[in-house]
Amino acid sequence: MLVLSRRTGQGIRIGDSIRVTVVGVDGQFVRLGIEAPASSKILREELWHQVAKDNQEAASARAFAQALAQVHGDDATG
Amino acid sequence: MNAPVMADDQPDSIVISSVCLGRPAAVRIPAASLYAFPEALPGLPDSHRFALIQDSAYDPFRWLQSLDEVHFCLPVLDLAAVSLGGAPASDSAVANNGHVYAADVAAVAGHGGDMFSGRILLVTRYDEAAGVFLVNLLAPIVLDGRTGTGRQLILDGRGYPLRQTLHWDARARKFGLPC
Repeated sequence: MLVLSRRTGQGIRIGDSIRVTVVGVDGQFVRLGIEAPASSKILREELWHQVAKDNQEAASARAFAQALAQVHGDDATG
Repeated sequence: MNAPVMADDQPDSIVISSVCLGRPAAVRIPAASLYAFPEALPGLPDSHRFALIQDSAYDPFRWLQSLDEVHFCLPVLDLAAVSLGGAPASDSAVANNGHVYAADVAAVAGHGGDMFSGRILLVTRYDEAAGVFLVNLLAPIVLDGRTGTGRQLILDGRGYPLRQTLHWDARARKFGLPC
């Protein structure tokens, strides 16, 4: 991993079209400004991990089929 | 582990082994229901090919069966099968109707002000402890039937929840948000 030290107002460039600037630092929080093409997907990492965990659990859940059978059972009797 | 594709005499469809209903079963899939995901879904990095399984006996649910990892099968709901109206007014995160949601999906999908013309699927799961179905409004899956491709978007910054409780209206045969 490349590690760089930057001060507030300084930035880095990634390739030709992405610029990341340190907007401010407040304690443990660093505010970053990101300029990138609209086609670039920019996400907070924890959000990606939340979706990944949810996908894995949804894709592996055997309880779903049983619950579905219950729903349709209720349909048939209701 | 690849899902075995069985020899078949109908070129416009294939038969695969699916675990979607909790047990291995052979399912015939029309070729038009096969989708490539050039960018893998978060959490499923080795799955790039999926079959959209529809079975009228289990409406309104659909399944995205991975063809690359047969043990992964995502239960999904078409956006059209979920009523997003009627949400509590105080909950701005979900107080949107389906049209607003679809417009947000289109914006993130890069369609600007145009409505996304493809299919919008919502990943669904069952919370055993609470006994309720949940739907992921944060990260819808969009399918483009013209190109046979799909991808999962993350609607960051719009307040949509990862796990939204659904209420099943047996009479309307439609899911909605709890009142």
